[in-house]
Amino acid sequence: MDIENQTPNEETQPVKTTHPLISPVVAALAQKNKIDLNQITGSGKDGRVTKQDVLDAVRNGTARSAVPAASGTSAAVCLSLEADLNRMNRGLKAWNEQQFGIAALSPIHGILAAVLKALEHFPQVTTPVDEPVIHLVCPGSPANALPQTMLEEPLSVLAGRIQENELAADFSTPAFIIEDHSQTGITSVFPALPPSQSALLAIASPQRRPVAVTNTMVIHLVVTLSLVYDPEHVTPSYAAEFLTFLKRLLKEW
Amino acid sequence: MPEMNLIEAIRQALDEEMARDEAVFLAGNDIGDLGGLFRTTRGLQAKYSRGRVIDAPLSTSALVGLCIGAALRGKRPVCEIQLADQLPLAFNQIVNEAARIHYRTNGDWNVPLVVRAPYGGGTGGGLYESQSPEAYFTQVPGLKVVIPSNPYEAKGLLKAAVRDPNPVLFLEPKYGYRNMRGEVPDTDYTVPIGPAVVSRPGRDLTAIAYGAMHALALQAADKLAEEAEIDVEVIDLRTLYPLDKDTLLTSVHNTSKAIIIHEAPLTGGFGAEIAAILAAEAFASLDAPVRRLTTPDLPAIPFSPTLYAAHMLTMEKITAAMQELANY
Amino acid sequence: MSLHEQTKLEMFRVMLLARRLDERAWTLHSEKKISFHVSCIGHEAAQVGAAFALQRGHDWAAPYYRDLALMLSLGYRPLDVFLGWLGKGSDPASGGRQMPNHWSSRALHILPYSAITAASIPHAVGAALAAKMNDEESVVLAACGEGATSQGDWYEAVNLAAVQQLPIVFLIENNGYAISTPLKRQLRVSQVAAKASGLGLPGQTINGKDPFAVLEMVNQAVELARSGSGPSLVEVNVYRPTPHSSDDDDRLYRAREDVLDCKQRDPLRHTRLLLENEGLLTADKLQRFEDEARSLIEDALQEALQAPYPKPAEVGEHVYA
Repeated sequence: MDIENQTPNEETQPVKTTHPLISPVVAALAQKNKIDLNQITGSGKDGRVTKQDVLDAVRNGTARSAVPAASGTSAAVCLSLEADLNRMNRGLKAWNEQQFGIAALSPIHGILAAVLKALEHFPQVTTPVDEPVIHLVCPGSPANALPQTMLEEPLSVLAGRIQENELAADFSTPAFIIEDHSQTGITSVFPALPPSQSALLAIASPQRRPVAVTNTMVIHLVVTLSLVYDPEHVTPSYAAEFLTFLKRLLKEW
Repeated sequence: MPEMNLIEAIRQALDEEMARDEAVFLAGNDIGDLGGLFRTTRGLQAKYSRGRVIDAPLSTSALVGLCIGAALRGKRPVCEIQLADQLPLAFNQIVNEAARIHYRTNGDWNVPLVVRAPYGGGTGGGLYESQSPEAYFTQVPGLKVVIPSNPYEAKGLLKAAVRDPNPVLFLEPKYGYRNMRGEVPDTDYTVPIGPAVVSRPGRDLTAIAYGAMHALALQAADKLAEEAEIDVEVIDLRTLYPLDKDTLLTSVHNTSKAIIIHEAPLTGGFGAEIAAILAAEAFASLDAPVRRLTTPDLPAIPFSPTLYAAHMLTMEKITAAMQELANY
Repeated sequence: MSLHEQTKLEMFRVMLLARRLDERAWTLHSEKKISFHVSCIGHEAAQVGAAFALQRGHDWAAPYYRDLALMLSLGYRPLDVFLGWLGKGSDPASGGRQMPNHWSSRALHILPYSAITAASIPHAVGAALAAKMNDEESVVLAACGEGATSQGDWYEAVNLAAVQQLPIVFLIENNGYAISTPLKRQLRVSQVAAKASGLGLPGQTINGKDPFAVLEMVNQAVELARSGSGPSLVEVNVYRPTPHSSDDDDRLYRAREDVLDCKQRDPLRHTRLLLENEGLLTADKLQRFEDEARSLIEDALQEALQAPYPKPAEVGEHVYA
């Protein structure tokens, strides 16, 4: 079928070649492996990208990333906002009171759980890799990598594993880096984005300070969260939505 | 291990079951002295008795009904319908009676009945001696529909059917009666009713077939492996109803492409059910539309050789369809 | 052959029970407590007479939907009947799956009836084949209305039984109507029994108001079958004073005089008079039968009304054995 003949009155422009059909399995594989189908020359009928084509690309490491890997050369942008931790903190305290024999949770554990939840909804701030991991960087202490499966673990298990330092430390293929400054007293951080990363989230030290709640000033625990991202791979609106979502998770805990 | 054709395997199964269990008896038209239209029961009346190999008048419906009644009384009748084209004459007895009695009596009665019938083309039988009516019977919960694809299965499945407490419609690919040969153990074995089997493992696509078309599918798969480096996985359904979905889904999950091949016409054929299952339950695994290769939507297989050839599936047609799907 | 007095009274008792039970069904239907009824009224003498020719627990029966009195004769209880009419889970025929009067009981040797007229006649012949194979000298009674005798299955099955010389008695309850179609539009011969000779088995017709005469004739047929002399056909001319079923309106096809005529020929009244004339049935005894029937029926009805419906989860059970 000739598209040009169907729309004779429209000014024709060179149309980027699109694949005639993406089968369910090809779509699923591409999404799972973050393969850009536009980069694959299909070997199927009428140039269709076949399942085998995608599997070959995964094996050969080609056609990666619907969100391409960051080059590290572009300027990083930082967005910051302040999140109210009051509800979360109350929740953690209640949780701690019910626990016996387990180390108590501090605000950083709650924030981490919220970040991991937010990443589920905003996967494109992570860097596409074969087996995504989350790295928790505490300046002055060894790095912890959180396997992706952490996303599904309940807060208690997550907290326990962080506290018992059971997390693997593998820096070779980071997918998302969280910098933890919660113990440093620093109230606002603007870290550098390491090469090949799409984005990084920095958590400053939570502070108790006055906030306005329905026209009344009250003292709440708040924290500044900063997202540093590469604008070539994460759009400003997406980054902002991610941070806003995270803030809401924390506030409405 | 002795090699035999489909007829010999079926005869051996009947012989062994009659020897094993006195409740087993045969009833049909011309099955005694003549040994049946295709000689599947030859010698059995002489070996047993006229009372256990019953030559019935041409009363197809009452013949099946008679066997139902005997089955209700604990007998194990094996009823031979001369040609599957005649099954509609007994449709009510098979569908409304045999298949529903266990359900409609809340489990009080059951009908251990086997209805055997040769089906399909390939023997020059024309419109009324070539039909593949399986899909009329694959919408009948309570009934089992079994189609063997080689002599080994024919013996084992038929013996399992005789021992099954439910009514079993056992359709025999008459094209294979003399053309299908294979090793058949002399031993007392059964092939379970229910599970399908991967008769040829492969990576590139799944071909689902039964009966005579299964044999052609296997040949086509071998040819494609040799000539085109296409690796076809072939599934032999064996039991159409109740259907073994798991084997189909596992295979299609791996190959991502499926073709269903049957002799019956396209519309409403059994392939439609399989295609629907794959669309519903293997959707995320599919890399191509599910393909059905069948005879055309025409009343039945014509007699004249030219019309027959135009109508019937061949190994070449199957090979071409498989190749097209592999290249999709 | 002279019937024992106790047997005669017992036959009358069952006829009376069947009549009162059937009448109760009509009132329950008018009260919308049951959704459907198909009546045995007018057929009681034929059914009880035929059933009493069987050895209960040894012989077999393939009844049809109108055979309420026959079922009661063979051991079905009023409670069993009510459970079926109400579609309750403990309905012995089907657990509430079949419509009312679609009998079945393995324990009572009652073959399962479907609803497709004459479809169970080949089953009865098959059961007779099994009886012959087992050499057990049991007999099958296959009942149907005259309407079913026009079905192919009926001809095929009766022919098969004749060819195989099987121990079976075909009971035809000829009430003159196949729902609305009168006999003259069903048969060219004047009686169903005339079909038998063409198929090679003895066939006789008897009036269906005297259960003892029916019993005697069916007894002869049963003994022929039991002794290995093959099948017979017994046609009983009966009258159907009711519509075909509670869903039927017989005013559309039937003159009222015909209905009145049927009522005149009531087999229950006829049997009562016979027994009274013989001095067997006194007023006291009749009253006792009536009282017993009433309490049996009302107790059974209460129990059946209390019985649970089948559980929804059971809908998927018993597809395969």
